[in-house]
Amino acid sequence: MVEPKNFNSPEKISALFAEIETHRGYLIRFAIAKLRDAVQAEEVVQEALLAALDGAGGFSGQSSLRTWLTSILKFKIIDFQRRVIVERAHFSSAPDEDESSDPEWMDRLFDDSGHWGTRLAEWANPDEALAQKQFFAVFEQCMDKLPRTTSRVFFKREVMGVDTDEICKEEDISASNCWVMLHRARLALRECLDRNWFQGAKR
Amino acid sequence: MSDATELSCKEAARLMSKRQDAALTEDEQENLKNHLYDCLSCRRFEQQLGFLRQLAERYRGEAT
Repeated sequence: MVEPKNFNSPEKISALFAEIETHRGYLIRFAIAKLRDAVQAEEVVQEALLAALDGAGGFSGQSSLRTWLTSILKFKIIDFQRRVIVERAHFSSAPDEDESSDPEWMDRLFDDSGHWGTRLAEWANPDEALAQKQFFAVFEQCMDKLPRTTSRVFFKREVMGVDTDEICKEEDISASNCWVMLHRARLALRECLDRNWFQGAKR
Repeated sequence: MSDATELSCKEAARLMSKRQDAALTEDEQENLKNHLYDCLSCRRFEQQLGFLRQLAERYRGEAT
């Protein structure tokens, strides 16, 4: 019999179980970026987590747990897409913001001459923020506030590291449309982090 | 041949964002450089964009 390298005792399995749960939020966002549907994303993440627990012995501890879970999730997503390939054509979501004109919130960031409405403040100790769980929770909340398509495009580009060309193809949008969305996402996220973390912390 | 135009912060911000995904033209680079030289807010925006990318990368690999 082959002994799994790690997590081979009940205590270790239950510790892994608890730790796996902390990655659920990330995995769901990953799945939403791929599947465009929150309910289906929940389903497929559930399947992936069950598979992960089933195969916990296969986790060697050499990659991060998140990386390992993500690789399981990728397989589950492909499976899922195969199963629903026919239905899939029906749920392409409509663009949620008009790209031809700037949304109102963006006009508020800049004055009529195109200068920043308020001067940007420096972010103190950004490296410290990266070491805090709570900061990542704020980041997740900020991403969730973006329009759905914008959020998905940002996630693919910056979190998953996909090229814009490929994103354009997957989303069936033009390159300039893609840049517009990414730019809006970055502006909005910057505002959100500024307000909810960096400036908030000073108060 | 560079045709220097004064950028607004709004345009500068758009170029900085675009630069994260594609190469800028020489004119765009030149105009942006000139704007950044004079504009503290935009220099901060530039730093914060870089940080945002770092954050997203960390978020991908991180056991948070």
